[in-house]
Amino acid sequence: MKFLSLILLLGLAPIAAGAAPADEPALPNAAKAAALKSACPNPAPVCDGVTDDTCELQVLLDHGNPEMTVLEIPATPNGCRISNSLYVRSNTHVIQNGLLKLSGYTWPSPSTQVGMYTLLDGTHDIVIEGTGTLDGGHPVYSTLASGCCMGGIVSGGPGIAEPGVEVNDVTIRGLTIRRIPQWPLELDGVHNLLVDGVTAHDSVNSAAIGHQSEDVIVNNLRAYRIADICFSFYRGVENAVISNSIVNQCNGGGISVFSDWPACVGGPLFSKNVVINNNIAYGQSAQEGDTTTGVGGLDVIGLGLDGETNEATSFTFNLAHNHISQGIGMTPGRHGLIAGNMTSDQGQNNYAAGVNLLGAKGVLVSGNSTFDEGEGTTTGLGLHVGTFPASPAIPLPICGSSVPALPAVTTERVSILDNYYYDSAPTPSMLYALISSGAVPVVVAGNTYAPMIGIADAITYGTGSHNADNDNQP
Amino acid sequence: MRHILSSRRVARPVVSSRRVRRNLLLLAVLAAFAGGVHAACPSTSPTVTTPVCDGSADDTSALQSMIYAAKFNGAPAIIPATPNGCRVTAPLEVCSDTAVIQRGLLRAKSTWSASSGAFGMYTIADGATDVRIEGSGIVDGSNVSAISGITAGGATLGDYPSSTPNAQRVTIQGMSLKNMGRWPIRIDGTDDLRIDGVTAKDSYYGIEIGHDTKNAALVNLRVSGIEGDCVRLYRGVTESTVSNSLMSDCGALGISVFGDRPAGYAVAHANQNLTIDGNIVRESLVGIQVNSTSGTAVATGVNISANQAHHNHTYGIGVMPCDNCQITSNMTHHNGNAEAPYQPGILVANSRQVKVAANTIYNEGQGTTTGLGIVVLETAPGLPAGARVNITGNLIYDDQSPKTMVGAMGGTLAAPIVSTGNSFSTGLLDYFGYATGSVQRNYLTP
Repeated sequence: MKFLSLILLLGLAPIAAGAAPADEPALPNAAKAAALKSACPNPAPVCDGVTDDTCELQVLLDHGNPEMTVLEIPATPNGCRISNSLYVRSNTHVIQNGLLKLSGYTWPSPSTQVGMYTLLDGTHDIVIEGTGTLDGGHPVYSTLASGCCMGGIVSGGPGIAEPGVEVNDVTIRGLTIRRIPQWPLELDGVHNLLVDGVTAHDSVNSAAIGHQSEDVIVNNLRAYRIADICFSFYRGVENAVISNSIVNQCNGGGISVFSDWPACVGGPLFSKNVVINNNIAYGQSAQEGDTTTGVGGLDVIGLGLDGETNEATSFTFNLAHNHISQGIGMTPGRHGLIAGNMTSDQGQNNYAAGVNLLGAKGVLVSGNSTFDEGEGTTTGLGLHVGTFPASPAIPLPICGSSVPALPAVTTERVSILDNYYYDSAPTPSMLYALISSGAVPVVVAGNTYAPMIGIADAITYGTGSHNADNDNQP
Repeated sequence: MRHILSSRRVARPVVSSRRVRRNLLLLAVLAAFAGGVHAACPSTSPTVTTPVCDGSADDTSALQSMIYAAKFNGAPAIIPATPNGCRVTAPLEVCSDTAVIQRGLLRAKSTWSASSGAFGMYTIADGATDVRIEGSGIVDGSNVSAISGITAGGATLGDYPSSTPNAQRVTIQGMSLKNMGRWPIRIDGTDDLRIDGVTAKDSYYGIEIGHDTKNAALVNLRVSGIEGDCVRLYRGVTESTVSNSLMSDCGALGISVFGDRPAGYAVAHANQNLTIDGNIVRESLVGIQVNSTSGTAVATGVNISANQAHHNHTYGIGVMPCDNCQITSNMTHHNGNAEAPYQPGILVANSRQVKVAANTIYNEGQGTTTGLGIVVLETAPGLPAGARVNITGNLIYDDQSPKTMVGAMGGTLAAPIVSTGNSFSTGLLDYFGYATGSVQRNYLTP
């Protein structure tokens, strides 16, 4: 209690209380030593892996320079330990040299959403980088955390995704973020963001950029063993690129432009102008003895009451292979480009497709190679196109909320041009190169089909469709 | 023909910008003849003085001593993070085998030496090799008109034949550069350059590499609020890439590959073998453009792929001219507006051997009924036989109500074009003047 009184007097109550402080100007360096002495048990972070360093690290973050605060997380044998979030203010550069691990954190009630680093609302010019590790201490990634949760690096207000929150000019580079009981990254409301060279693994939820974030570059990401989508542009992201990244063993999908109806939050927000370029998404583990397989590769998902969806997504020059279901999907999506990709060996689910278009409007599928789909079956599909089915209302368990009944979405203006479909497996697994669920209005031209188990083209062509200039390869 | 005229009309600010730049080059030449501002790189380590970096004192001399000494120390010069940052009044010269780590703020004082001419706050010395300038700090030019952020290229921002590069093995990484009266980054005549993770904003020009710079990788750039081009590859840039970057609010072009022959330069140097890949360019005069002035070397071997160009004032992607180039797997939409009618998603002008394939183009021409998909044109006398423009496998459509697009594909003069396998929505016109020998086989999307 004495300790709490002291920190209250020093205006540091949010550290102990778990509430986020406002982004006020930091105190000059001269106050740092005095603040440490007054507010915290130790004059500096101990970083022996046992002592709780939260207070000392927070004071160092708070008592920096108005123009630029630099905090180095030292490399020590057992790392630094925190039991609560570290709140990051404007003009801060965190250099993560060593291990920062979380233990002893108690989830407050009512809950606020925080991360091991929480970027305060309204902040700007923040860099968190280094070769060190954030370790959330969650033992098994596929098991939800009891009492829930702490993210890795987050922004977006106490509830995450709160309207009007804005953080500008953020760079996150080079860290490993692991064993996080919630999101390795959940960066909401961030404008002008670069995430480069980050590894996220063995965590419960996605590495996500979401909720009105815009002007986003994600490059060189490695994400694996995630019990959700490995990486997601989640609800209302605009002008965003993910490239040169590798995701695998993703239980909810590899890379997704995703919009849903979250409990207690309300209707979906949709993303637009997203480039997914030159990535690899694969399902099966690269580690010997690990049989986990990811669900899906790359996709666009989300639907509103009036048929609104995510818009303007480009999938170019990616590889998507060995997923349980589809390689690349727009289910549904509006204004799309799927070009120059390679998909293969989707399987386990019967009728798994290399490319799956449900309720796609204005989508070009061109120059892709799709082969050996349906691994372990004789039902593999090259490309499936059809209507996204209507769905009934689904009650959600909290807040009295529900996902409302959503309409069916038909396919419009889909062109399937110049793709190559073949099965080269010793035991053939592909049933059809192209198939539709019902009659669809499509242009199918310039494609090449090698022999399949069934006929190459099983599309039911709707009125006005074109099916021309395709070739069978001997 | 109307779209050509409108294109010229909106392009004037670009031309004007070039004139301004030529004048700046001339000023730079005059400054060089006046003796320049640089001391030579020292042959022995200087006495290092500690900068004050209190936001008021002039730290130029102390910081320069740190940077000169870095080569001899074998350790980087660290621009410290202090409460109010460091201040400089003249360029800091960076010599060979030197690493500078920008931790805190470096801001130019308003008393910046006017005689510094075209030099940057960091000026990479002529002939320097193995230079790194990196960090997460901020370089702020204070909107002083003469100031650039980081430059290489000597007093004249040079004319370097490719066999004798000015600087070699230069890395610029991670920092933010803003409020520059000239370029946040201007690198000329450099071999083996990497600019990675840099933010440049609120400046007169953008990030420019030029004058026979080669083997340059520009990646993860965030560039916005630039009066001129956000990113420009200028005169003789070869074997280089711009990728994974975001450009917005550029007064001229988002990404420009430009060649000319300024007054006083003997020859034109062609840009060639370039990749522009995986970028998003928006809300600029033009999205992505390859261009050269009449009579100069035409760019060759440019690959523009996997980009998005949207909501630009005129067209999304244009090559005018570019030989042996391709525009593939891009998405363009919402380019052009009521002030700039008849704008296409993709423009191919006066070019030879160009492939335009697998692009999605939609809803161009906002606020008009004149939006266009792909335009191929030749100013005169018409695209010759052998020009080999190949347009295949693109999707062009307008799904709005009311519609803003009038044409899927078009050109003003008869042209020998292969236009096959494209699909475009009903109501959009294919008004190419297909010359003898052309191939046309396209489809309407239902």
